[in-house]
Amino acid sequence: MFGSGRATDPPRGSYAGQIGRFGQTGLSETVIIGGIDGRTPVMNQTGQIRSEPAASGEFLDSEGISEALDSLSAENRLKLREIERVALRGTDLSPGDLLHEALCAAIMGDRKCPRRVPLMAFIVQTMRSIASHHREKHLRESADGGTSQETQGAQPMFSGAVLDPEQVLIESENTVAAIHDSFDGDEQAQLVILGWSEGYRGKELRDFVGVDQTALDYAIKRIRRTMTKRYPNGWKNK
Amino acid sequence: MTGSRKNTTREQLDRIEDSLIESILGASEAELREEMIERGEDPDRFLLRIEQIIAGAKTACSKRRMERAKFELQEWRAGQTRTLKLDREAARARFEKIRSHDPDLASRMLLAARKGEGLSERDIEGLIEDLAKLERLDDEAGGE
Repeated sequence: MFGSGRATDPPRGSYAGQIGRFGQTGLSETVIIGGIDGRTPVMNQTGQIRSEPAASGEFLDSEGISEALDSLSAENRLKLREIERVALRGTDLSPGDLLHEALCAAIMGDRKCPRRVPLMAFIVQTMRSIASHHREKHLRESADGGTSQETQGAQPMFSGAVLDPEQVLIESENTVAAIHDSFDGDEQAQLVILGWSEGYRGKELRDFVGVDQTALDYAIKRIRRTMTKRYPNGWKNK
Repeated sequence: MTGSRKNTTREQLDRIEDSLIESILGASEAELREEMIERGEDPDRFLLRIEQIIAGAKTACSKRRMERAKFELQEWRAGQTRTLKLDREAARARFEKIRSHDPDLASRMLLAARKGEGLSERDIEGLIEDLAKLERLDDEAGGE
């Protein structure tokens, strides 16, 4: 079922271009946004139940997802854990909840994983998409004083105080400033953060910071260590 | 003014998140373990936790699939009942049409009834049911 030459654990660095906002990712918006596809009648005249989406060559089915998850390496599992905690930012989800939601969406076929996309990239993007929806929902609720809280999904996702959009904005600006301040005295790291926030990658980023790849890798490692230490469950702002 | 400020700040945070995630994806297992230990965390405990999350997701999905299948079965059964009722109504109309358009059949049924050999209401109901079944089988055969 799971196969067709698709490696479960691609070599390091092979996710480049697969992760990012919609415009930068290898996944289409439809794939990222997901949503339950129009499942047609699920039982035929002979009473056979077909509750699973039909397996097609283009997407991994439920069994394929499960097999791929079982064969995830320890390295990738640790990465999922670390990435989940970055992606949690601005939600009231606890560590573990976001990954659980993303895995359920993938297994149930609510979000479809194209075979050509590495599973890791797909799960990461699904987590980010779910977190983004949680954040947007929180902001909407905040904007109208919490009156539009949807009942779908049984329980409210956010229980915090109602936020003023302007206050959210100021907090976001403060967060950007705080991230820069975290690297006070490390000019290279500050330039990398500035380059990242401008959307620079690869050569463009190297040129912007004015260092070679080795020095850039080292600066990025410092940033990762500092950020995951300072914001163990992602920064709080939207 | 506020809109562009909002977009810029949010975009900046999104891009920083993008890059941070890419950096994690590009790290080795040894690096990640080292960083976790440096933060006072136990990587092996996290591996166990991830295993539990995967198993929990599979169990939750199995339950959801079972609930979905049960719901679909109920829907299908309800649909079947409605279909049978409609089939019978259509067959009755068809039978009445045949009887009214076939004077010979109508007179023979009347004659038989006078002799006490006519079809009872139950016989007629049985005929209608047979007709409905035949038409359903015809439809199914035609659909294949």
